[in-house]
Amino acid sequence: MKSNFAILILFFLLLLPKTAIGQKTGNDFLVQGTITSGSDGTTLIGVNVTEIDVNNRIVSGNVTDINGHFVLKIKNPDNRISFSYLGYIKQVKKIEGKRIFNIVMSDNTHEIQNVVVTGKKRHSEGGFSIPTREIASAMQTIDTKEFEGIQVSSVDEALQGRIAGLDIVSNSGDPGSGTSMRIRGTTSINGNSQPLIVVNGVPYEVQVDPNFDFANSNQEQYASMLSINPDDIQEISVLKDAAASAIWGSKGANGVLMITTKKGAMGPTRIEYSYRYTGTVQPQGMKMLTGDDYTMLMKQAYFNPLQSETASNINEFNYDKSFSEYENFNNNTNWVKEVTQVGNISDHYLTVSGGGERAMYRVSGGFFKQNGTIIGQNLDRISSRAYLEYSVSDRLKFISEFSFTYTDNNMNYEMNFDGDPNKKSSILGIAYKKMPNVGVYAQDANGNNTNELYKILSNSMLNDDQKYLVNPVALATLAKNNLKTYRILPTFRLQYDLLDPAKQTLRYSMYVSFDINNDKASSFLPQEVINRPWNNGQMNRADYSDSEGLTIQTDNNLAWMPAFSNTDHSLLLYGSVQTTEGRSSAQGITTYGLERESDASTTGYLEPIRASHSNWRSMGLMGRFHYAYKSRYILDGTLRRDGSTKFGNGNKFGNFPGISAKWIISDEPLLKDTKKWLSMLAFRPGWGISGNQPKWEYLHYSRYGNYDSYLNMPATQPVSIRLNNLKWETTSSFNYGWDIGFLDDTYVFDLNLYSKRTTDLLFEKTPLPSTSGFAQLSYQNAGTMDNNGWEVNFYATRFIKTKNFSVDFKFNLSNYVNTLVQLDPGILKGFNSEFNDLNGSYLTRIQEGNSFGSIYGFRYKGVYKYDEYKPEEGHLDAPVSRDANGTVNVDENGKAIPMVYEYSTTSKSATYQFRGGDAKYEDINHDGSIDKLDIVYLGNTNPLLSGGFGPTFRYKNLSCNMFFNFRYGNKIVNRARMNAENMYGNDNQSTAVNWRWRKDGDVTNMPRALYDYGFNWLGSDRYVEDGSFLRFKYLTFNYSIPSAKLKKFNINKINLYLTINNIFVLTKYTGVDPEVGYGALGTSFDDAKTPRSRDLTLGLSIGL
Amino acid sequence: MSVFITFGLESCTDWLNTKPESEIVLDDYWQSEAQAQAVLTACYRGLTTDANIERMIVWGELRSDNLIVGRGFPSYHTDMGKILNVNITPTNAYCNWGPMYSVINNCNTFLYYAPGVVSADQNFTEGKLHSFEAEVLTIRALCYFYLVRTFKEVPWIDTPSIDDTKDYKVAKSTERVVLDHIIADLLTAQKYARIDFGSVENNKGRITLNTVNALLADVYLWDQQYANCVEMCNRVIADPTLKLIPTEMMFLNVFYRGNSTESIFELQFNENVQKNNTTANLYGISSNIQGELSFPVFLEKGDYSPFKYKMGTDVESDKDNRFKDFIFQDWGDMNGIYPIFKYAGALRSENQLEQSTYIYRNTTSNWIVYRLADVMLMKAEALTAPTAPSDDDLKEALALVNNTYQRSNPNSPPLDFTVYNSKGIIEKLILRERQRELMFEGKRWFDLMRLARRYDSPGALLTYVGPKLTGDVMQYTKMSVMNALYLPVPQGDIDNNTNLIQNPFYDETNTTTAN
Repeated sequence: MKSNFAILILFFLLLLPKTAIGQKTGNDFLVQGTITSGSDGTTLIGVNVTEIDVNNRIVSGNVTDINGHFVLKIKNPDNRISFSYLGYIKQVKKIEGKRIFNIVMSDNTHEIQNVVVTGKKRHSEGGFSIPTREIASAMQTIDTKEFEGIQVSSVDEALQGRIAGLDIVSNSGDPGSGTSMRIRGTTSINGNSQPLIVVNGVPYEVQVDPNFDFANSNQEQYASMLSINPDDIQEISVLKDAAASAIWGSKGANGVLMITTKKGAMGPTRIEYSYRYTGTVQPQGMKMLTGDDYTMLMKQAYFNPLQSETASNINEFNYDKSFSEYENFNNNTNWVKEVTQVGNISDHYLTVSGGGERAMYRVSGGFFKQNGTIIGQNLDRISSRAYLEYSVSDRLKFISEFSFTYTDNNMNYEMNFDGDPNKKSSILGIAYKKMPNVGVYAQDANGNNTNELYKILSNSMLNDDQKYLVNPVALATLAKNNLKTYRILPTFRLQYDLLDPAKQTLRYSMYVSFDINNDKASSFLPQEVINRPWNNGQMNRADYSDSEGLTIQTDNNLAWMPAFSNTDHSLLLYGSVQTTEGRSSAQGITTYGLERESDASTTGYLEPIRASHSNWRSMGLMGRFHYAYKSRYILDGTLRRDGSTKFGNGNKFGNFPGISAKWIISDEPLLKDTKKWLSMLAFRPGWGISGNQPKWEYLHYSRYGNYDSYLNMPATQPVSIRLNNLKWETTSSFNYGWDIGFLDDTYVFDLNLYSKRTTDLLFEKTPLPSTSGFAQLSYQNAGTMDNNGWEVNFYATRFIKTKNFSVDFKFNLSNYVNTLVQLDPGILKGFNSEFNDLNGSYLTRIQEGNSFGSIYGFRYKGVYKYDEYKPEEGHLDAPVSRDANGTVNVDENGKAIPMVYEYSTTSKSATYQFRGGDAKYEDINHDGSIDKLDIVYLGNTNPLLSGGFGPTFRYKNLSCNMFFNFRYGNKIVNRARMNAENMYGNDNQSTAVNWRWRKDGDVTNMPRALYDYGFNWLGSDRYVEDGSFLRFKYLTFNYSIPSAKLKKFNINKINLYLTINNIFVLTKYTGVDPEVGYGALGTSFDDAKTPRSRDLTLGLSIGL
Repeated sequence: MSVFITFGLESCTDWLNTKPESEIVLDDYWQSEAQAQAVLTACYRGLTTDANIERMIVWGELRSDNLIVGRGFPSYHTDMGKILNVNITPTNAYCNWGPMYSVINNCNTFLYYAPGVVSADQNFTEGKLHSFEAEVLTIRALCYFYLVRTFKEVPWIDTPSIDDTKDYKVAKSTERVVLDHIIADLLTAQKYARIDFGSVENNKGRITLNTVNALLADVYLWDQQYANCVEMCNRVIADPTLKLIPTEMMFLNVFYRGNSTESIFELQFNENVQKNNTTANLYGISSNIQGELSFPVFLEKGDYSPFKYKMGTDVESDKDNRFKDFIFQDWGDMNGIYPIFKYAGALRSENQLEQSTYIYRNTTSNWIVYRLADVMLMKAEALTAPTAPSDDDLKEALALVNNTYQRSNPNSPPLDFTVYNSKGIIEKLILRERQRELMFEGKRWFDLMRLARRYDSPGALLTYVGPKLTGDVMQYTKMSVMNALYLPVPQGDIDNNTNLIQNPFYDETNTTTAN
């Protein structure tokens, strides 16, 4: 590749006009003169006097002295001399042999009256710039002015609810935890479903070898959006349809988020400083039992299954003073309260920008500090961005961008219970489970707290779930889990006009961009937190891992806008070659049983060292055109050819076409009369294909890897099956859009209707018959999925308007339906494994013709009121089997047949007979027993509608911005509630269980307590809840102090902000936050992750 | 414009080929003898994984009367527990035959590519290739032999899994086809197998001609080709380098030190590369003397006991050293359990009061696949098994039994033809002797299966296994037909391979036949 760069630079040098390299020499001569002000006749000091050539390139220059006099050595008499001075109109004079230039400059403070400036707002993607009104694809752009003054720590948070068809759900309220984003639904089951992010035309990705089990695998690329400071962003465009995203080819299938950062602007140096302080509080979650209620529940739960007092005789629940740990188990601890706190964020940001004719710059830097609402969480971020633009001449321009981000994130330690990675539990999750009669601190014989955080003794009689459940306060304060991220992104750009831009545009541009990313994760679990033996894998365990990646991206493109003599036609042609090359490496070590140090390299038990290396390349060839006739018939086309190292020879390249058209109907002469009220009516049909790639490299090789040794002979074996057939996941989509504007675009509607079909769905780790010698294929293209939907965007700009007051309103609404059209039967069968008949689990199932993210389970019908069926006493609601008419089935003796749960079909003995107070499930097939055949579809995780709306009020210098976002019609499995109401283990339960069934005849919906027995919490609709919500997302007041008052202090502007985030949520959902991310198989499970906080932000920004 | 030309598609395709750094791709492999040998080694290495040693024990021993739940049996170890409770379903982890097939795939890979190395590497002669092939063919035959004994019908696959264009949905082959393939492969291996690898470790840890013959004898015995079995056993027994270890050194040399003169083929373990975790967990080790499994107390004496067996007026095996050597004689709390000492222990010493002191091992043991005693008793069985064996054959069989019997009962008289005088009696004696001699070595269930196969009925097998059962009728029901004695096809493979047919006994759609 290096040689290619060299060729590139050589090529570029050759293109420079000869005059630029070899100057005429030998006929240098001097010119001089005096410069005076036209308004008062005084001489001007420090005026820029420059000699410029035909391309406006500066050849030589000087400034006037204290007397307003200048001398300049001229290189070429054909050049011109330019005089410029701040606040005066620039003048350019031809030399034409003159030696003396006495110039009178006039200042430019004229009042311009009655000048109407008409300009077309242009949309630009790199070198491809077209008028905004001619955009023919489904795209929505947001200017960050819209959320100025709002406290957001990342862009995604700011975008939430604002873009129709972009569904953003935050993963949790923990600092730096990122969000899941879906543009127009889920297009992939195993592949990546997150959109591609492009910053200033350069794809922004973190590519770490996914084979490497990074200690913090949830810190994915979306969390790394954090590293772009929202203050630096100019605007964000979301490309939603394939006609637009085909430009990004094999990476664009999930949509594209294009971020443009702020650049320098011509003018004097401006300094802007802003500061924001935010206080955050966590909303109230489930109310949990007190220690006293808990122990009573536990004694019942142990007693009930065997009806035995000895079963419930457990020291920790007995409040018996003779028990040596009595003082430690007689408390009422509110663990949730113990682990939560008022969080805060402070955010400083300083920007310096400015520029002259030749150079523009913008340099910014900030410091962000966040303390989370859970103890032990804090995040520090230092970020900096520099933008420098230098025009060598009118035709040649260099741009250099540089950004640096350093994040230091102290997270809570994630305990790995039972070695099962799915059982990782958050601090809050532990706090909800932890038994409340145990104290935070160890207590002495008199019940006084000591300094030592209490851990339950390892010889306790409690069941393992509770015995080994750590003290969450100890875990949060003593254990360490730190992730440090460094990211440096230098980009170098060059732009050269091959023809005179005044006549015709033929522009060559290129960039080279580097992305250097470095992560270091370290964690330590000290012995003070856990009560395991010294040689246990968790004891004094230190994990250390780091990864580094370097990606180099290049783009060479040529844009040509031919000049037509007939101005009705306009055409833009664009061709580009892009390359990406990257490598990453990661390594990690883990030790446990360390003596004391929190350093994995000291002696202890060393687990095998993990390491991985990876490198990848890809390239794209792209051509696109934009044609407009009379600026009202518009046709756009794109063809991209992508190649990647991820695929084998047969499938290395993929083609991604896109075509879209736009007809601006309102511009037709026929509609001239309606133009007064119908300012815009346009129809935009479009079609395109985009792709999605697998995560891994080297899939198309049969690879041989090291396999230890036998008898000291080294062994090697094939470790993978070569994927000859693997290809891109392809999404083709149709989009029909309408742009409608009323009353001079005061009211604007933007409607889109789309249908997307994803074929060759990528499936990761698909099962293979084990007779192959391999458990699975690493990837397979195996299905088809549809996403059909619509979106409405509505803007009303200053629709109420008086002299001092105006109101804006925006609204967006969207819906999509996801359908799995077809799936390889083997994979389908693999996903749809047999129901495991266990409490708490939902049947995982994906079904052709149904939506991805469907939930299947039993139907919960309440609680059996009576234990025995005695119709004569009116005891009808008892666990007996009934036929389809509700008639009780009887045996040959006329005795009612009991209702049973059959949990294994191969053995008749495996039935459970329901009793009074047990959960009642609907016997769907009326076969007299509950079994897996009674499992039905319970709902879907995908929302029916989602969107947002909000007004903006402006009164003089005060503006008020409100925003609401909502989702409607999505179902969530509230697993947190399931765990808090099952009364099955030793975990603490919510106060709802106080309504539990205790004796015959109790009317309640809460079954009886049964320790480790029964089937009271099978996966049923009891825990499937409607996740619809309406959130008052924020309310912002922004006051800018009138500039007249500030002038005397030499201050340009002062803005004051007040923002209240997350003011309220209207929802029927009983969990703490209805915003739950997508889990496995697209289903949402609420596991009591940290909820989004309620914030109050005060901000100040000063401009000099 | 030269830039754009350099991006011409052909050069791009090259540019878009990156190879992994830590692995070698197939196109670059199979260039040298060392590479071929590394895959050969992988075949051995695959046999020593925990998963495969577990299978050798679970498939060959767990279902027999020799093993019950031990004191160290964990509550969560449900898959082994289910097998002990005769509650076997296709989802049971030990029905998964994948670990064996992954060894088979390595063997297939070797057999497919190694011949090509001869032309690539001059040092790799045809002779070397054939001797390597003999080892690989035997390893593959051993794997298939485990599979065919456990599942009866399994897919016979002899081509490597290279890419995703291959049809992986292979149907089951009949038992006959699989056995014929195994025999054919072993007869080929017999031609090229080496006799000596130059060191004791290699001679015991790698496949030698003796291994091929021992395995072939075992296969013939299973296939009821008794004359062929006797012939193969004779070839092994005739090797003068193979000698039974005298009783006083037997435990120490055969099971603790390993690679004894009695050993034919044993899988070698290494504390740094691969420990034998399976025997350490299931049988025990010094840090865990109460293994997960144990010997049932009802086999201590009585009609079904191999020890202190009443034979007329005499008591056979009254003071058998193996009773003390293989089982930990815990005179304390018995709880119906005898912890296992074979493979778990290092040394047993005895005082004048005949009380034993047991010293457990700190390192893990090798796993013996074949040893001379096994082959001798195979021959005895093959001589006795035909419908009407001659008296000479029966006498020879009795003499073979006496080899091991007298070794472990040095003070007892030899077993005499006057008492052990019929096919029926000797057949049972051989079964007892094999149980005493080879207990916990992954043989007992297959011994019982051969018995059942000879009568084509589980009846005889059930009389031995019966005392271990809890008395639940379902457990008998689940062993009542021959098909029930084989394991079901793993559910994962049924799900992913539509051409596979479940063993009818376990077919859920056909449960009536089970009851």
